[in-house]
Amino acid sequence: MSDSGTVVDDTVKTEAVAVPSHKPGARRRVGYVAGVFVLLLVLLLGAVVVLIAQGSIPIPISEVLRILTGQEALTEVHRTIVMDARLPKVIAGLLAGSALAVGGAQMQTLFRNPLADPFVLGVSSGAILGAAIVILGTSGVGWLAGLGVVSQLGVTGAAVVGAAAVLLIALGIARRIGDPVVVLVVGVMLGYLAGAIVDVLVYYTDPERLQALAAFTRGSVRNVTWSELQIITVACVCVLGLSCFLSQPLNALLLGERYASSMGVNVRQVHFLSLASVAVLSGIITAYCGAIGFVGLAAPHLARGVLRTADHRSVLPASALVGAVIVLVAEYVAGGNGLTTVSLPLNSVTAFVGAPVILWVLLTGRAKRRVG
Amino acid sequence: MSEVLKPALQALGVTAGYRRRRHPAVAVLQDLQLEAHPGELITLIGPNGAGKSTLLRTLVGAQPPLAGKVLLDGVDLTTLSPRRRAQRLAVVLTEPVDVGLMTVEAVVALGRIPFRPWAGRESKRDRDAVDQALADAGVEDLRHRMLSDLSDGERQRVMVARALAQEPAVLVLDEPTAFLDVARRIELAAMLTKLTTTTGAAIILSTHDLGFALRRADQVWLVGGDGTVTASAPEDLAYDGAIARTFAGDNMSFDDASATVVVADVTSDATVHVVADGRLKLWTEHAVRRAGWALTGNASGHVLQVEPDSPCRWRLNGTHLPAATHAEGVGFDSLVAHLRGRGAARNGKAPSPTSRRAPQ
Repeated sequence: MSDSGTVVDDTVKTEAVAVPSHKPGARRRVGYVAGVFVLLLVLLLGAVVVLIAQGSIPIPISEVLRILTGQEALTEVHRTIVMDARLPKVIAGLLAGSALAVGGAQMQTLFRNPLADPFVLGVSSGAILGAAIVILGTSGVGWLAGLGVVSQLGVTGAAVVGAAAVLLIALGIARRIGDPVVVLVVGVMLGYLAGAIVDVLVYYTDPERLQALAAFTRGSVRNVTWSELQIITVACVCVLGLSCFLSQPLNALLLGERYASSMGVNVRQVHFLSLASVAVLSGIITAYCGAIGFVGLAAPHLARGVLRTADHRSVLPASALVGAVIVLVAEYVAGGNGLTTVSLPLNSVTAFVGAPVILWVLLTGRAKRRVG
Repeated sequence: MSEVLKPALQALGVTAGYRRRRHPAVAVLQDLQLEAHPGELITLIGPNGAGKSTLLRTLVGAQPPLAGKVLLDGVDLTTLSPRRRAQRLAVVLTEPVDVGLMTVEAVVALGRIPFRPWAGRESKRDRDAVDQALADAGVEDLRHRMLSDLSDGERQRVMVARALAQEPAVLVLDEPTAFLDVARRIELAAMLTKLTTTTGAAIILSTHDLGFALRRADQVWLVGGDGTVTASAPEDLAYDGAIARTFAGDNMSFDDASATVVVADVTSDATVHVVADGRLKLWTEHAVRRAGWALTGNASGHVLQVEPDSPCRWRLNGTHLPAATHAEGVGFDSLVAHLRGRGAARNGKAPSPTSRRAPQ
């Protein structure tokens, strides 16, 4: 990298005679952003390997790498543990973190509110409500476990619809009120309302299902199967790809809707596509992993803070990486480390990251930005 | 010269207003005929609520006209895609923006969005346009600064640079000076005047600053309170009294010297002839008006002589006046106090302590 860097710098210097050039600065900037991404990728890979290696039965890292690269494992037990238990968990965590973080980053721009996030604004609760109505209305047992693929899709669809409904209500209120903190409170209330409806539904049905539902309001990536992962992966990868195409119009929206439309951006269309992608991402993740809190809020802020930019072209992918790392680390702390037999809900751990970020945003006055 | 050029923006029989659901549409401005030529600086003035914002929104295509057509380079605005429109027409809005962490360069580069595909990268053409826009708006030095770290004046210039990055034929600014102090206003005004020649764009801006509107503009669009818009040279509008009629209400008049609306405040019928030179004469007349006296070129009544000094020395007398009424003093403060006292004595009422003149 340093070789090519020197060469490029030389050409820039010769050009600089004609044009007073800023390009060395621009090069440094590109180098810095690339460095951040490399660092995040290394962190993510590290988190993946550690999370697979550690657990109630520790597996040597060399063995983990052998299994992951498709070579012969030393013992079949290790192979089974990695492939059937830990790898699905890690992939689910990775996708959940990325999806929630990218969803949160988009919501923060759409709502012009630095505190927006699928969990905080009750979108996850809406998804649970949607899913709960379908599950409790059908003859399924437990949560998604025991349901066929078709009914799984039905439940997932209901979760996405529930998420979309809350998003629409919250955005409608946000556009009328504007004060980010009020919108935050409204979102929390919507979340409570959806949660209360779920509780009532559960109360009037089979009490045994209460346990299963309770687990899902706290978030977990441990019970995801390979067949479920296929659905999550396909959906998340498609929507994350779509989100990257939204980067540029979202950048225009940073200036406000009036500026964005003056630059030829179809604001309604971008709103629709972006809200739809947030609904799909948070709906699917909530349907399979439950409501994982604060990742969507904290990851974009951390990404922007490290990159020193609000440009979605780098913030969206960086948020995805940061979100994945947060969820994997949270899972490690919550019980994937094998050091204790206790396993905590994911939310208890992510709150340790998310709550300070909310406080920091509130105290540094970022929540007071004007709403256009 | 502007007659031979094709207008960059043209309103043909436009009626501007609002469409409402289940109600008849409200026409705010009727049957407008307006032309903005390349390189022209046009100021849009009018009282609050007369429809300045409605007119601007209609001209930039943010709301369709109720009747008539707005032509951008001869093409009906409503037939252009938002993207094509954004390649010819750019806007700067009143309210300050808060984009969070963004460098000036990145914000200005947002102006290239109409030229790039959704996921496209910046081309050399885009970068050149951004460089040119930064240079034209005089914000090259701020290139790597964060927008949030800038002052209001710098930020507004960056927003102008962002609009210039769209390489517009028409640049529309909605009260760009509203949040700026006097020096920053003048700076922005000078910059916009320069831009008409460097970029060749037609610049249309709404403002409350009558002085700026009349001094700088090639053309003034005066939005009356009666649903009309009068387009004319600023001198024509001022000379034939159109501006006075639009802005001057009760107790108001248009002051030609200062090109602004003032409180009509001659409270005494006393007149005075001022004898002084240059700037001293101007400011002495200012003090006389402030005291509620009228000025006269006739030296047969009161004569006020002022000698340059710091503070100035003044002497008030008159050849036909009794010697007892002669007075003299030092400084404008004592002059105004003296004139007010005399004016009040003539009218038989106590002098008012408040300042009688206020800019509109």
